[in-house]
Amino acid sequence: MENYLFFADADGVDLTGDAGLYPVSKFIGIQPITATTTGVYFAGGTGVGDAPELVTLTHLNSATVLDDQADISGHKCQDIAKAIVRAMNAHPHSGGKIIDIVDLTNKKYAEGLSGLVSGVAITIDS
Amino acid sequence: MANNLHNAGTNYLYFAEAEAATTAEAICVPASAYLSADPAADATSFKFKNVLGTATANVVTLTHTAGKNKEVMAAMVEIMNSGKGKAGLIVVADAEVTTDKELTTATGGAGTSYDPAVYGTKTSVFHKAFNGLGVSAVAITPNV
Repeated sequence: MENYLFFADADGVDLTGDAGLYPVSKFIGIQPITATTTGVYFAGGTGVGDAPELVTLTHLNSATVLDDQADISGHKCQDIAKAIVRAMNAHPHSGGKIIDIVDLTNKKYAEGLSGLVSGVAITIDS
Repeated sequence: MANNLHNAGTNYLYFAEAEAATTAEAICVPASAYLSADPAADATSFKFKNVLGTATANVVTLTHTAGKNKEVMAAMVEIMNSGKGKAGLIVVADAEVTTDKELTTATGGAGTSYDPAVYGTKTSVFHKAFNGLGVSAVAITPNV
């Protein structure tokens, strides 16, 4: 059984694009989008068109004094990748778990992402 | 193009250019997304399935000592197959070097001058499998 990764924005999980649940087997990759955002890509989940689903995570950046850790430790996409990879490889003998990566509605985060990620946006058929 | 052969116990590879601030300046992909390698005079390019899921590739080019192409390819295979029973994110080639700029005061708070000594900088990191091969730079080309 495989793990499933859960993402949700901060305004409730009750409208299209508020949240996404993706099997690990649909994970394609991660890359920075801007200094303050990182994209997490999953193979299309609608069956129509099926361009990939894009989860955009907003995070600390290098633009302000408070957030300028990125100037020091690099773009946060690597920290985000570490957290997501850890979650994808979790429970190797059981699996079948729903793992919160970033659930801003319920304030649940994968290890290493609390205080780092402040926004979630889901683009279906990106 | 979905990557279907990765789940628990999969290695994921991380690459970054000297500046990682926008699309395709850094990528994380499962090792199963690997497609092929292509040598050049002082560099080797590795193709991976596109993170955007399109029918194109992301090409990661590692600059290295001339003539070391096969050794670099062998190192990549070693990296992709490493960590038996302890798979995770592998920093393969992270060339990101941060600018040592920090607006700060002498005491380290918000201020108006740059003081890298307070905060330090991040330098490039290359996997130890590349030791002796002169790997020194990363270029990521999307949608090839």
